[in-house]
Amino acid sequence: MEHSPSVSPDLRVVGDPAGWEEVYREHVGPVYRYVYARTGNRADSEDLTAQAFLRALPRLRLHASVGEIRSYLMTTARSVLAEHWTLRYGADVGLLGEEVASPEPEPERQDSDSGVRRAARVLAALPDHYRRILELRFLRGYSVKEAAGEMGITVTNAKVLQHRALRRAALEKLW
Amino acid sequence: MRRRKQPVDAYLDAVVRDRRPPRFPAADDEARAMLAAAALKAGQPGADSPDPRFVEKLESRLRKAMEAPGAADAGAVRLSRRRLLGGAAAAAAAAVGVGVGVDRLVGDHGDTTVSTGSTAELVPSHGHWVDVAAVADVVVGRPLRFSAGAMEGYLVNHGDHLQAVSAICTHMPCTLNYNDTHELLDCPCHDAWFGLDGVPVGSSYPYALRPLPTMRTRVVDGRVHVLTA
Repeated sequence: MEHSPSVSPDLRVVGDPAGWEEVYREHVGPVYRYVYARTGNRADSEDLTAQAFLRALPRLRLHASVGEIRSYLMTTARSVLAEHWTLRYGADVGLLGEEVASPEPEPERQDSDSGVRRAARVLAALPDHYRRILELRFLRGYSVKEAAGEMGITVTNAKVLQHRALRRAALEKLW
Repeated sequence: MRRRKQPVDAYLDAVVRDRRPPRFPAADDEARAMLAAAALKAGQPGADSPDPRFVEKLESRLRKAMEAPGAADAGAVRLSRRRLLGGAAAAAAAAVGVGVGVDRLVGDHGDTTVSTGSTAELVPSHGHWVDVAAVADVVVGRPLRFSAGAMEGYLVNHGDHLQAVSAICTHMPCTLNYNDTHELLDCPCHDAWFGLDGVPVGSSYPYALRPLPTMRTRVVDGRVHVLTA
């Protein structure tokens, strides 16, 4: 397991009955946010977060540093996600390797604002009409029809614009 | 516009509404767009915060798992990508009702999806028909567990046909659970997963498991009967 530069030297005993609860409470938010940003819905995020903890916690009966524990939890969440994308969408493992799985997840960046900041960064890089349709749809929850009305374009054009904007957004470093 | 009825649109609508999206085989460029949509959705303030009720429920689930003697580790799953994709694609095709029997579909792919060829059918030599469910109760996407004499199984509605598959893992005789996240039958004893058509899609074993046997079914007056021993 790789050590990130921010690894704390603190050790803790996870086999200790109180230990896993502390680990869980501290990490459930970051793991959930990491998963949510790669599934985009609550039901799947809850299932996959549960799978990640159910899989990882029983193995953490070690003296491990906080950094090692985080890293292990994130790595487990990542492999649960990769299985999910493969089973649900037949998504190419290579694609997941590049875009979901490969970069070492950075738990210290999975704070409560990380999703908002990342989305804002991506949107800022897009041309106006791409940014507009994606904001209306994914940040403000408009249907395609409502977004089309708001933008004064046809539903068909809104759909096409949405797909182009997403393809363009996918080129940004989202992960 | 050809895009109109694409399942990727259903995925995007589900993400906008924070609902569980449907399962379908996505092309690479679609998967990239879907991941981008998920990342943007996470930018909606508050969207990516876990529900406190979920956090609490998961903690009690974990407590049970951690306090169980010899809490088993569910990890170390190895997936054969080819088998996995074959199974997933076949199940997805069946779910949208392409009008091709699953055995046929698997056969047409002709590769490693099923190591032993088509699924075995259990036909007892002195069998009798047992009424197990109302047809109306067997809905697509929700397999119905039944017990009929010597047979334990799931009734599966594939959209264009009903199928009865054994609920017993072909590795050791453990009863499979339905996993609605992945629309698979999961073995609780070791890591092994089967598609709703009984085709093994992954396991932690270095060899392929046999597909789940199927049973004969018939429909009489709106009731499903299974031929059992």
